[in-house]
Amino acid sequence: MEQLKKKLSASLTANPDVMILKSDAWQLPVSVNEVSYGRLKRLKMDILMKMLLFAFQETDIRRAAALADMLAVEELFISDLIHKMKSTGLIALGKKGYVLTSKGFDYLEKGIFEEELDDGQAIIAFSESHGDYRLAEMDGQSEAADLPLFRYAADGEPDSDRMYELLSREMDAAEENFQLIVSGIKEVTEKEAIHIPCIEFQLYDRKQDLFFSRVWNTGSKLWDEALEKAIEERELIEWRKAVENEETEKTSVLQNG
Amino acid sequence: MVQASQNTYKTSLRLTNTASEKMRGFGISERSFFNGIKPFKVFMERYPTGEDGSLSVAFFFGPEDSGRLMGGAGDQLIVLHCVFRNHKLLAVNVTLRKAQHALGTNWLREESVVFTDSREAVPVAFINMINRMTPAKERSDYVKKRISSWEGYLKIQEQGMDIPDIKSVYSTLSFSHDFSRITLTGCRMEDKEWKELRGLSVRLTGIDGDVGTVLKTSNRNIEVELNTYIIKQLREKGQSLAKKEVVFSNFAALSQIRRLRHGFTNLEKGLAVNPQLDRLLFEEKPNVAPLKELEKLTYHNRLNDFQQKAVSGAMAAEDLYVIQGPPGTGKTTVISEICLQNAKKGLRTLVASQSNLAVDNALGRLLANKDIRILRVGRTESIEEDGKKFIEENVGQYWKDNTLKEITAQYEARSVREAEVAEQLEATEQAYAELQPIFESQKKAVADKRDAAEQLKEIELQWNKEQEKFQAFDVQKEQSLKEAQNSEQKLEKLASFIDVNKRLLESGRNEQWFRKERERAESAIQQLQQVRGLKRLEEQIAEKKLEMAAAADKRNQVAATMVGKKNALEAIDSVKKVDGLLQIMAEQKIEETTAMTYSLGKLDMIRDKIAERKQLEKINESLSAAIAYSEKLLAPAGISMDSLKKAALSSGEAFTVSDIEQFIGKLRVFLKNTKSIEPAVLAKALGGLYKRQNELWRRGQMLKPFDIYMDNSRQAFQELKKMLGLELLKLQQHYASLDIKWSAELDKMQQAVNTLEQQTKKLPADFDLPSDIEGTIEKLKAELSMLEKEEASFNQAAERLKELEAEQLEETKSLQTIQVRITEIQTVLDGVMEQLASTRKKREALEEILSSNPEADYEQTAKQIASLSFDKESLKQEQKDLPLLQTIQKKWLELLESANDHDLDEIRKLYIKHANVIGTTCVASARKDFIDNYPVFDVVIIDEVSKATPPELLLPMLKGKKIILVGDHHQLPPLLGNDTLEETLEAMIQEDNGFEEKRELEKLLEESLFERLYKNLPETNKTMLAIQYRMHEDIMETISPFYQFDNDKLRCGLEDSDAERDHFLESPGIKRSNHLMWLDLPNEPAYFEERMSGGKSLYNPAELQEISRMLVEMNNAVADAKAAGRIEADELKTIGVISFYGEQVKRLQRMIDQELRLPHLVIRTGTVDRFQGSEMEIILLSMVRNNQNTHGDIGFAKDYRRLNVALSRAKQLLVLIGSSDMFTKRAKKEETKRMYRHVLGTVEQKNGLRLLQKG
Repeated sequence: MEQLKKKLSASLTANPDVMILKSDAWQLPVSVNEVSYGRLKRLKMDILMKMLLFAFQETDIRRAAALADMLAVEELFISDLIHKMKSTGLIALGKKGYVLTSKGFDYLEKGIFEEELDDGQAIIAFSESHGDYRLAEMDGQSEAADLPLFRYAADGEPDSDRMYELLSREMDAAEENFQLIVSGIKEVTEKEAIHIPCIEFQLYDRKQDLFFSRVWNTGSKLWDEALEKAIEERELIEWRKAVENEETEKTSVLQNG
Repeated sequence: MVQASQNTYKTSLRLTNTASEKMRGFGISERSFFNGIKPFKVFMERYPTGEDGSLSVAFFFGPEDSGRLMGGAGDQLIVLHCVFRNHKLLAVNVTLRKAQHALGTNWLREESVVFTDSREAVPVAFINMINRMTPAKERSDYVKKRISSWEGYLKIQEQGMDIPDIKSVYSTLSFSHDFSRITLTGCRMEDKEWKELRGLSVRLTGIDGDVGTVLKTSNRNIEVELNTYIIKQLREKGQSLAKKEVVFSNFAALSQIRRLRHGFTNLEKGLAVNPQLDRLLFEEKPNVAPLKELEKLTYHNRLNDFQQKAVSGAMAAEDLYVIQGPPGTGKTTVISEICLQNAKKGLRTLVASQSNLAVDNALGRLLANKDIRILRVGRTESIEEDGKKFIEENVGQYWKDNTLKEITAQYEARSVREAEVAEQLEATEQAYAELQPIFESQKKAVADKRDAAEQLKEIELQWNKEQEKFQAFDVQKEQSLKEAQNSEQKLEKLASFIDVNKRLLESGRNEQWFRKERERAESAIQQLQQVRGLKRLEEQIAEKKLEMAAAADKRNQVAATMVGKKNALEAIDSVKKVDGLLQIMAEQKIEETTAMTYSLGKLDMIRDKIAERKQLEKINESLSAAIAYSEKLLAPAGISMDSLKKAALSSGEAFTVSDIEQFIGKLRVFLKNTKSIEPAVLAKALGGLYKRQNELWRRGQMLKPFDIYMDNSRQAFQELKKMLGLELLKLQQHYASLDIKWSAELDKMQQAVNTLEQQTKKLPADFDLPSDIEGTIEKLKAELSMLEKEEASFNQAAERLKELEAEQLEETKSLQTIQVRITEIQTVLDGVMEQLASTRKKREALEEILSSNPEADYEQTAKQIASLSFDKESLKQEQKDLPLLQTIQKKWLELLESANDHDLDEIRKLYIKHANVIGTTCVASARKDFIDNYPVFDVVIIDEVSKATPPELLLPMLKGKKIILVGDHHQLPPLLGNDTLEETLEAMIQEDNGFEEKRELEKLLEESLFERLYKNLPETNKTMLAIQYRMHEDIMETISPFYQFDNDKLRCGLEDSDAERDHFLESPGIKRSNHLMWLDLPNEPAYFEERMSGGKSLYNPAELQEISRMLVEMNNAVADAKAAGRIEADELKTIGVISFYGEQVKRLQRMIDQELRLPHLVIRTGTVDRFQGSEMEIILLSMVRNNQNTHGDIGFAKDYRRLNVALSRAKQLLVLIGSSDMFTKRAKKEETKRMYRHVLGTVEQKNGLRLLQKG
């Protein structure tokens, strides 16, 4: 830790105009949730095609324009697809309109058919300070560092929609003609929060008369902008005042002395 | 692009040996070339006419034909290079050309041609067609000339461009406080390379893509401005890059310049989609095509009149349309509408702009409509938030979101609709039922009317018939009446005749009386006629007697003449001289005959000759005497006379007679007066005498001897005498015959007189003569004929009387018959009249029915009924369809909601395939992949045209059939890199690198392409959007002078500026009513501008301090407004703090970041130039310039366009911070001062001026 701190300090003071006013280390709480979610397996099939097959099955349609109005979809798209479906033998033009061929029925059925798979399990870490959700490894035996909590750590409940979004993004998969879909979140169990150590620097650029902060996030291994902003927003002006006061004190001491 | 026609030309073609060999080399068989079965599709390009006036042309064979001829497909085209020689087409060379470069230029003409190897001459039509083509290069020269000034832009940008990549290691990499920059240290480069670094792009080994551009180098430290999209990557990896290596490169900038250059090349090559592009852009007056006729447009956005005019104009224009849009006038709305209108017509539109931000702005404000499929093309990392949803990978999602929204709305609306439909249906049915009886009765009224019309027709027929009958009988009646009248007249006449005849018979005359009377008259006539004849005879006799006297007189004259002639004839014999004869001729008045004239002439001539001879003989005598005397005197001197004579003979001199006489005279006087004479003189005189003697003798020889002349004379005289005698004889005979004639005439006259006298004797002499014999004869004759008539009449009278009386009887009877008939006719007529009256009554009744108008009501009701019926049916249909639609849309909603990327993949592809509004930057529109995907657009719309350089504009323009330019030349011209053109120029001049085109560029600065087009285009092809919706009226007033010279004045479209642009702030310095303010700083040293040490940019610390104070005040005011409930608690006020100077902006930003906490404000800072196109609720403008320098320079602030941009960014409140004295009094130019005085004046008028309290 100390070593890391030294290395970071060195990189920051590579710019000779920058001086470190203060450095600190603390930890950021991250809530950990065990989530179980439903999974589905279904045929890869374009929704518009599926919709067209469905519509042709339901009612008599001759013209693409009629469907375009019903579905609020550009006629060109529908014409294109009808053409494609006709040439692959999924539909044919009957007396009253397009009808599904047996192949078409078959295809639609397959398209509608969804095979429910075993539930999936995932660990989702959530940092309120970042508004960030991410999948985490379960080995998270975070070393119980003896560090204070981040002074501006935010507290909040994880949002299941956001978690579903994350799972859809990360867990949806495809195999050959099928796709595996996260169908919904079934259960969320809050686990014990983990704590990410961070190293904070309060800095001053003499040349440009700038105060700023840097926070190294050991979890993501980068300068963490969200945390820097959280600190700067609240403290920057005070730092300046403190320094200015110090200066005036110094000068007054010097003058008095 | 390529002009094409339908005909197939057939032409002979010869190949030179070179061409033949080349053809063989390319594997083209001459046989397949000349087989002439299928025509070739060739693209012809005419070369410029050669110096000898020869016509030459290139034939490009299409890819298909080229492939066929060479036996196999390739991307090479065969090109035949030909010349016309002696009416033959000769191929001089054959080459291959890459397909993608060769075809599609504007000077190619597509024709179908059959080549034959005959020796026939080329058809005239073919030569003419080529002759009419524009030669490729000529047009390029024309374009080149005009675009040379445009290229100046490129020249600026190309300055010092050609730099090879520079690679170096570095020792440290440190970030600036906000990660916007990095500083590299420990780089190792050559000195020259250090100088070239500025502006180059920077790559770091281990990081994908360019990290940024070199901002500056100082003390061998390199400061790099980072690209925003790279910062995240750098935060992660910046600390742990394995290899510390950096590469500086100019590649990106250079390739951009190349692309721009390429645009020019393409224009020159004729690769613009619109073949007229160069002309439209470069001609003094752009020759635009007339507008299309358009049906009235339906607008999908709410548009004001100007916006409507712009849209309809842009739609109707064929090639070019320009829209001038001052700040806040809804340019983007117009663009959005044009895109949608194009989409509805099936046209594809390119929306291009100079910056990514502007493109994304424009796309982001397009209406979400299923007809419009927007695609944003460009480097994803440089696309702004508004544009992101339109990039390829996101359009599926965008489509899904919009469709889902639309279907949800429809679905929800329909759920309510079911009850509505039922209700409406019921109401409609009820209305229908109520209207039905009214409809029926109206229907009957209409039918009745129709019947009445029919009846009327019949009645009118009847009426006409009766009318005809009446007229017929009326005519008969008239006739009969006339007949009766005639009959009565006749009877009257008969009565009078009868009367006359009766009287005649009773008059007492008879046959004897008539005879006696007749005889009396006849004898009187006879006597009178005789008297008349006598008188005439006496007159004739008198006349004849006079004539006879005249004739006798003439006879006497003739006799006298004849005696004269006889005497003359006798006298002739005794006449001896010519004069005597001439006298006789004169006396007897004898005409001179030709023969006589001849004889007289001959006599005259003979007389002359005799006279001449006499004269010569006389001179000869005196000459001979003189010679003899002289010879005698000279004899003793011993001079040879013979030699003198010889000399005289040979002299040949001519002398007149008087000469000779004078000579002799003179000699005589000389000899008499001279005592001793020199023999020589005498000899000379003798010579002269000889000479004259010779002449005299010569003349003498020419005359005949004297007696011959006498004989001739006598002979001639005798002849004359004879001729005269003959002539006299002839006259004598003539008079004798005349005498005989007159004598006979006289006898004849005597006889006539005798006859007349005989007649006279027969006439009676005792008769009492009336004075007027002729008149009396005539009277008597009339009397006589009257008598004869009366006699005849008298003889017939009795008979006639009988006849007349019979006639009278008959006529009386006929009159009675006529009168009976008249009575009958009258009866009929009375009957017809009665009928007519009754018919009229019927007719009037019908006409009344017809004059009513039940049709209008009926039609109205019928329409209502029909519309109700239609509504009913469509409602029924809707009611029927509703469940189905709901089912289908419900399903559709489910599918859409659960759709993931896989499900949307097909849609995404379709969307991209059918995308019809493509957005990209000007420069990106020339990228190769873009050109491949989108070679042509129906319409190209370029936004913020005035901010782009001409070379940039050219790139998208090349691709459009129609071009619509949107901009405002009263705002700022383009930036070059980070600098204005002025700054760049200034820098160049300072560097003194001998930049020659400076003058050219300054010209460009004065008037942009947009401005020129806008000024020169006809009214039909441009519009100024003159209603602005951004600024509070007070703020707008500051910029209105900039637009005062345009056709339409700038107006404010806000109905109530105070309400719609209320900033809700109340503070010590700012009132609710303030929308325009100027915080006026004194023009004193404490408030002066300062210059960065070692820099050129200016800043103003006093203004910084004031702005800081003002921001704090505003932040508090917002807090107060929130507390008072005027502003929502979570709302933030947007404030732009802008300045003319970059250094000031930098300091402002630092101050805001470091020294201020303003939680109620969202603040953006920037230069005025960077703020063009943006708007904020509140704008603070830091004016910086404040000094007391003598030249009163206010720098960039003097450009009215910059001031216009600065003033027109604020919606609610604009605050200027600076010294008003500096700008309104100290500025160098009067127009600049006037410009700022207008601003100050407006501020004062709006009570917005605040003087800074000193201290």
